[in-house]
Amino acid sequence: MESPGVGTCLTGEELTLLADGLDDPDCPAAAHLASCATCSAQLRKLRQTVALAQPPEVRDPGEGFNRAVWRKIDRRRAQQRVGISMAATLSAAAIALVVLLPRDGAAPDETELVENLDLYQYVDLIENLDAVEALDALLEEGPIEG
Amino acid sequence: MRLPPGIEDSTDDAALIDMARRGSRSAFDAFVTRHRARIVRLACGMVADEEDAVELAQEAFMKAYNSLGRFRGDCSPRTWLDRITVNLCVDWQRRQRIRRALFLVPRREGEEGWSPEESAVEDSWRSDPLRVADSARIRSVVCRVLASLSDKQRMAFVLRHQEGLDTAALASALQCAEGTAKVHLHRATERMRKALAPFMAPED
Ligand SMILES: [Zn+2]
Repeated sequence: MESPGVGTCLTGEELTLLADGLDDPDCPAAAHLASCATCSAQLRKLRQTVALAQPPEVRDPGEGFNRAVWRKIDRRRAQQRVGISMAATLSAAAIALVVLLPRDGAAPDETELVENLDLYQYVDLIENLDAVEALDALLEEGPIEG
Repeated sequence: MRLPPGIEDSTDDAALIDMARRGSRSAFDAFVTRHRARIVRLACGMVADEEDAVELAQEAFMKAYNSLGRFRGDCSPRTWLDRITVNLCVDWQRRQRIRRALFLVPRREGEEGWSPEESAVEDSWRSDPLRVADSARIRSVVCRVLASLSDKQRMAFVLRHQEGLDTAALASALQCAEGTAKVHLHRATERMRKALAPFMAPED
């Protein structure tokens, strides 16, 4: 990237990088900033933004934190072991079913599964109270006669 | 604090992670000790509630431990851990949003569908000139703006402005060119600047 001269305004990207003050204070951008009120005002805003967005200071959570981490690690490992043995049991059961089921056995009914999946689409609907009211009104009218 | 044999204060992160990969729990424990406060703070910057942040930070370390075998060393262990933490916090925020949607809780600042300009509460806050910057409100806005950014923009903002990574390290963490990393950072910072404008001191 070409360095801006004293007369060239800085791009947003350049100003954003300067907001942390990590760049060289003797760079050409700094020279421009000293002479341009617009760029230096923008930089002040960006510096305020960065300052406001800093996470709060926190205390060192101490050794209890490490113990909690290890508890989580060990619990997860135990769950994984149970999961693996359950998966093995389930696949054995599935194989047994395939072997035992008659060839012309009815195909599993997928309607119920599809209906359950449809429920997730109603989350948006539920968020809209007007829609819920409309639905209530509809339910009060009773079932539609065929 | 006493360190286990073979581990010193000067043992760098890469060495600790390497030892942990070869089965040393104490090496990983030393890694946790070294980064726990920073990771809690990082999570705190993303989820506002300190208790949630501590919980998420612990989960981040657990996730790091479970994926030690997949760490390729293409960035520093510190950046790798930051990335895990930020992604976990984002997932957590998404789950919270779904939970709120299910229980009909109104949208909050920074979430999809919310805009500071439309918020009546925000307007009443802004109209009070004597009100000093309310740090809890600022944190809430920051968290929600971070949640609304793209993954790369969020990482760029956090890694540069909160963790102080230089452009080259940022590009490597984001796995993109330096120019692209700067664009992500700029867009994220602009979004944050606009959202935080009501909290800024007026120009003299
Ligand atoms: Zn200028």
